[in-house]
Amino acid sequence: MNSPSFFFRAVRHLLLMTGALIFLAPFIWMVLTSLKPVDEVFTRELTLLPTRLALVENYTEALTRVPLLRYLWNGIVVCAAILVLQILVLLPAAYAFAKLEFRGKTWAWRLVLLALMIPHQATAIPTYVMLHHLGMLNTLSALIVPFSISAFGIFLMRQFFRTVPDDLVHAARLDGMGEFELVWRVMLPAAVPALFAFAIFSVVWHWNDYFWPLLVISSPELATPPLGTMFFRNEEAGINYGPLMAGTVLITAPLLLLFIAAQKRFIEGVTLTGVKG
Amino acid sequence: MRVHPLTTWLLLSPATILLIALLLVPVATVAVMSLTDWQFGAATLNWIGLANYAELWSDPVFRKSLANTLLYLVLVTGGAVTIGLGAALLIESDTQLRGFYRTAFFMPVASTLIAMAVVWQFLLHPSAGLVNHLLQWFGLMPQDWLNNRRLALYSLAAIGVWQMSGLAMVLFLAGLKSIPQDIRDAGALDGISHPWERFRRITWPLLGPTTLFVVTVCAIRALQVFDTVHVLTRGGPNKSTEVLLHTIYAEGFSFFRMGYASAMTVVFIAGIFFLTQVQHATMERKTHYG
Amino acid sequence: MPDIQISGLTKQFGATQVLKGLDLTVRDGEFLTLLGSSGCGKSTLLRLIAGLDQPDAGAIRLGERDLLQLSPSQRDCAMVFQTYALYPHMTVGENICTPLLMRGLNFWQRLPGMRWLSPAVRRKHAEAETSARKVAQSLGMDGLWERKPAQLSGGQRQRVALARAMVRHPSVFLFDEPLSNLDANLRQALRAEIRQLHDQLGVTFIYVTHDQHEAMSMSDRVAVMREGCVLQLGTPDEIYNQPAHVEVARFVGAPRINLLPGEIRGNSVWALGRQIGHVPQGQDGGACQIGFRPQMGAQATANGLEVHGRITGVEYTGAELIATVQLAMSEQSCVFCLHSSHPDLHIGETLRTRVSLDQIHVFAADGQRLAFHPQPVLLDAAA
Repeated sequence: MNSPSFFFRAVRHLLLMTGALIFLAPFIWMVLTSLKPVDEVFTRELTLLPTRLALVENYTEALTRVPLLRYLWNGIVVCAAILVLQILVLLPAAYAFAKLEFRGKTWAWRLVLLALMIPHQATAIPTYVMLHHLGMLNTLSALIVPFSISAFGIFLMRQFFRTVPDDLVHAARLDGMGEFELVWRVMLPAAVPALFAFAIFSVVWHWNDYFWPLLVISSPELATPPLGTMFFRNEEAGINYGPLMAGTVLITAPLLLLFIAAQKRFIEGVTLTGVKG
Repeated sequence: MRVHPLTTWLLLSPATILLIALLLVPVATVAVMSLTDWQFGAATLNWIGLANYAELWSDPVFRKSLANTLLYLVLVTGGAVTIGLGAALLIESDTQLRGFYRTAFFMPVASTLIAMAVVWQFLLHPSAGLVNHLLQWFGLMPQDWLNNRRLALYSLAAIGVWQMSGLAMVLFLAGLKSIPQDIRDAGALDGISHPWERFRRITWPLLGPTTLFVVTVCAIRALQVFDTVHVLTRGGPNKSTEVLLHTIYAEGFSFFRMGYASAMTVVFIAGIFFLTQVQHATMERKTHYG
Repeated sequence: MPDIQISGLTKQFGATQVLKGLDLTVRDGEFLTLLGSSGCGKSTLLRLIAGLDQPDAGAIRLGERDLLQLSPSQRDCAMVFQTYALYPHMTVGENICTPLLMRGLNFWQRLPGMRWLSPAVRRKHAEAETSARKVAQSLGMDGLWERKPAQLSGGQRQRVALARAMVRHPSVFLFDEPLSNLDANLRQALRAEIRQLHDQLGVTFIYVTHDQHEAMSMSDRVAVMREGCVLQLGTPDEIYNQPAHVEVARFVGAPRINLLPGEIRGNSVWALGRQIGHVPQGQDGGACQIGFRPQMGAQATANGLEVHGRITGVEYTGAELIATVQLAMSEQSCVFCLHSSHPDLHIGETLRTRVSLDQIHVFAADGQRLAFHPQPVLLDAAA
């Protein structure tokens, strides 16, 4: 519509800014507290800014009390491994469903659709038992292998591959490309935007996953960021919130920085979880 | 397009094998296990048919857990959808600072929930927490948010709304964008100019499918609540924040009654399945206005 | 109803200046078409008249009333959109009734549920439905009353949009390329219907299109627009036969007008090496453009500008032969439309013909039309 009135604009800003402050408050408070020394954390009255900067102390404490950087590193390794495995497995399958005809295709696709509806916590019990019998509990593999298949990824990439012109595939075949080469040389480059969204979806999901690491990991050195946070909190035992907040800042920072750096893509990827459910 | 069957098989086999081994077989196993009394580590198991389900039906902890989960679902879905819609409408109504507001509301969705739960624990601290400090500043009574039997679930629900509203907002923003400008123009010429009229006659009806979609997305996510419960309350005080996944976790991995936990999992899957069906149905309707 | 006076209208979108101080008078009751290619500002102008956008500068007055102070619905304009813009969730009947209800009931009467609570509101609804049905009947839409837009064809949707506009009995009808989304036959039928509607209602119609055929066949007057300005405002005859600017001549008429470079020496006009006539005193010398339309009238006269060249293309349309000729005397290509009784032409042959001097338009270097006085007699050049 036309230029809104000043009054309208003011009201809109008032409402949205109040909301924004409430939603950002935990983050702001987290950062502020991570800078406060012990005596300023538990005060009678409300103090916003620290009078004495305890940045070095708190962050050092956070980094030394528990292997915080180790947690972050584990997170990176696990998420990267999961993503690579997922792509390796789903891309050829998505291509087959999108571009090839074969006997039993309808039934196979129905299986994929069925798998889509399974929430990941539902398979926890049997998978746990299976890993136990394989002696794989409390290893990074236990965190990676169960997620190497993403039914959602197959679904998403098949939808996308269907929009790639058949002629492209024909041309590649005439050039003498085998099917596998086709997938990696022709389909993959065409699918980069969709893959990027999927990558964000997968990384964010698995970085933040708490339930599964809680079940299979018991050694702190193998913890991913969410589990590591819990170890850290239990160590700190809620006496000194300064270092605890410093720890959460460090753990939250990677994803938040990724979010701010690639907002549109990030939102795209995360809203895919909405489509999956 | 037919290629050599062996090639097709090779393309599909990793995915198919893993799909069956890691997803379909486990789900089937859960269903089967729910008909036994198996405990983890036990050498034998007995078929007990639907006895687990009968026990669930009369188990006060499970009933409480289910009730809590449903209450949580309603609160969080209602709150997130309302705030998400309101924020989306306000943001869309003007061009100033759109990016900032969108980022601010979406940040909780992007953050690591466990870490933020720890932050919330501090915020809700009875004496040192920001929330109580602010309440006192306004002259209101401070509360023990997480340890008060009557308040704990609502506190968790508030955190849930905080975490989910941004997602609802983003989905609504996409829905609002898809309302053609032409229809708004036609409305302006017909005399639909008051914001309430515009909302009632144009925005809300055309947003219908999107709204249904957002509701199911939030509901499915809310049903899966676990992190905040495990970190902040462990289901207490007095099972007032016991939720479905947490009960499954306790039964299966603290008490190791896996047969019983499997029965609970079946109930959980049924709930998700139902909501997913609703979601698929609404997604069909989204392309309704061709 | 008084005329609509538009003066000094300026509108900028981002970095682009879409309208640059536009002036226009729309006469009461006329069918005026805004004609131009995309980006010329015609749709922007229409939206400003409707009130859907505000100009950066300028005025729109309806007699004494300053229209810019009024909201879109207060301006008593109705608009038919290219995409029909029907409310998808309402039936045909509800779509057509909406303008009447919005006008006839106040805010409180329009609240949900009031229809059942207040007999006055119920009465208004019934009245609205009666009026709406009448209009729908006149367009043959009566049988579709309960259908939703998604169940209608393109032509039906456009008629419903028309009905919704008509039901308000507005003082001005605005059309934003309403026929662009329809196939050719439907377009022809609806063109005639819209023109008939205008004659019936006697109300001002402002019509936007990029199709010059539509503009020429439907309008009382045409405003040819380009880059935010009106190049010429006149009847279709004036636009075609006396284009005020070379761009107007280029835009209107198919196939396109042929343009050759020419020269003004003193006040004589030279083209293709011949002096063909004069322009008034006071023109700067220098380059100019000579234009003539491909349709050749009787040109068997000895008096005319001789052109000849090699045929590079021939199109046979049944009624005409359209020949593209590479002129011998310059690098230009010209198009000629000849009657199909003309002897066969083939690519590579030479075509020789004369352009009657009365058919020639002369445009100055800046594009403006110059008053051209042709040479009374033009004999062939000495060999």
